[in-house]
Amino acid sequence: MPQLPDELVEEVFLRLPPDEPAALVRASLASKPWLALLTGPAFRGRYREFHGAPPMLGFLYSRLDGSGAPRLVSTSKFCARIPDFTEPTHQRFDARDCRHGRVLLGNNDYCTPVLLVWDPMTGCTRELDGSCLPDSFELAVLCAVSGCDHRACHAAPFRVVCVGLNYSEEGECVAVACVSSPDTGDWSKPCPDFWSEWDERCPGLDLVAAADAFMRPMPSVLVNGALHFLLGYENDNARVGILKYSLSSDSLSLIDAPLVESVVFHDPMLMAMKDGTLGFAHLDRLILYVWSRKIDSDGGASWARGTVVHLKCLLPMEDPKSEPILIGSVEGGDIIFVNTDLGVYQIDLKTLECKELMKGRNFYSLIPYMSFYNPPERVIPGDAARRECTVEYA
Amino acid sequence: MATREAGKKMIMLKSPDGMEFEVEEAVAMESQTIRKMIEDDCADTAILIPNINSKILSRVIEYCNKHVPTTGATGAAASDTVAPAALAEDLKIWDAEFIKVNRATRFDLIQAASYLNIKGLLDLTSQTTIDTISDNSLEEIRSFLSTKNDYLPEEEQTIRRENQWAFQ
Repeated sequence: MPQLPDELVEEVFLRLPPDEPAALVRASLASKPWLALLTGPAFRGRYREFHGAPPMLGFLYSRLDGSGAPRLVSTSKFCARIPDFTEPTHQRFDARDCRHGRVLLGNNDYCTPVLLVWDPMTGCTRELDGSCLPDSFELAVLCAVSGCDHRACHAAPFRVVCVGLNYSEEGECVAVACVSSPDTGDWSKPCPDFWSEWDERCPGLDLVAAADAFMRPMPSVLVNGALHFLLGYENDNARVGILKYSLSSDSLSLIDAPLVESVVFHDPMLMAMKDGTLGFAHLDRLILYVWSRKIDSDGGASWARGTVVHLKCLLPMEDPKSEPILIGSVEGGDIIFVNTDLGVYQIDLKTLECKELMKGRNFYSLIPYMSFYNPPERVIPGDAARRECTVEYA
Repeated sequence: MATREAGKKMIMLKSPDGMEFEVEEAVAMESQTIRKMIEDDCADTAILIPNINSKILSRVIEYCNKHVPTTGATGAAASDTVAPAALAEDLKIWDAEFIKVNRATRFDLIQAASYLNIKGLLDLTSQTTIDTISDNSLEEIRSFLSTKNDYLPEEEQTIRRENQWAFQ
């Protein structure tokens, strides 16, 4: 039987597709030396280097008709480690954000708001006190390690950012931003009292004459060291604003959405484009417009219209009069998720490739779980987290 | 230095079994290893390629000939009229045909591609190998890795149970 030298076998294994982690797991189970090699830091580092951005292993979703315990639907042969969501408050958890391998869940409970950061790779969770949050808010989770390439940092320290709006009786609306203290990365300890430990780092931003502003319920996008949130306005459906929180300068600012006369912004969505710019996507009936915020050489910023996609030719729809909605995107991936009256679809804006992820309607948010599969925690048995496969495979 | 036609620099490659192959410099330079030798001026007469027999070397040259960017007169007749996408599709079909070889030859090609540092050929041969082992049983993977199962039966059972999803 012809054989390859070990270093070339490694070369071959570098090319195992990251969105099919089962093959790598099986190979690492061949024998102890191979387990050590394929799960060792040297090979893992080369593997991530070779493949670049982490693949999509699954997604979390929210539906208009409520949700039970949070579920991570696999789009690959991967199953998450789901902790015991036994507390009654856990039953109403919704996915709020997912970044750098962690999922942020919130229970939407007015009396006992609880936030939970969950690592689906290991099943570890950290509970955070979510009381005293602003009147209208959105949350983001991200790695707290500076200089990290975020390819395998899911067990490292993280921070949670809350950006929201407080309304005064005088009709003023002030935007505020808070950041949880950088976590120690020790998942076994509960987090300190969340809000009291929060750093209100920057002065509030007075949104002049915008008492009707609210945070649109969509995950933020991270572009160029700043989180961007979408604002809606109760009194004007067509009006949209963008609230930017810069992590590096701890400052809040407002960005205007692209000015499009005569087009009502039906379910607009922010994107973090592959080229590093902030993107803005919206639908006009069945036509998708994607804008990109370009910064010119002297620092001025302006919106440039990029891709225009006719969804009619791409997406299956039962009722041709029904209106699809944009429900999410891949950060830095130029990939969007759209819900039609038949199901949830993933569209690559570059190749216009389209893939069905799930059947059904009434979705309003889909958050992809992007991660390299890191076998050590999974191959070596023995932690207490319950293992459970979601039954759905896309 | 041998020259075949004006503007075309030729290079002589020698295999350890004594065969000589005259190839265009541009073709030989698909190999980053050879490119470096040429750029460092170590390639005056003929380059001896150690450890790669003439049968494998001729296949490697065949691959490089097909994959060299077609900017010159030879083989470039189509490049102005055929769309890049069609050319890429043509290359893909050609690659699929090229790699229909037995396992021993494929492994030899992997070694040659690695030594000569030809990324496209290494990708192609490795990917084909992955495709052949992806659905294999653990026993077949062990044979590919020439490794022995050194888990205790109960260890293996636990591992299989804990990672059941990967074996379904």
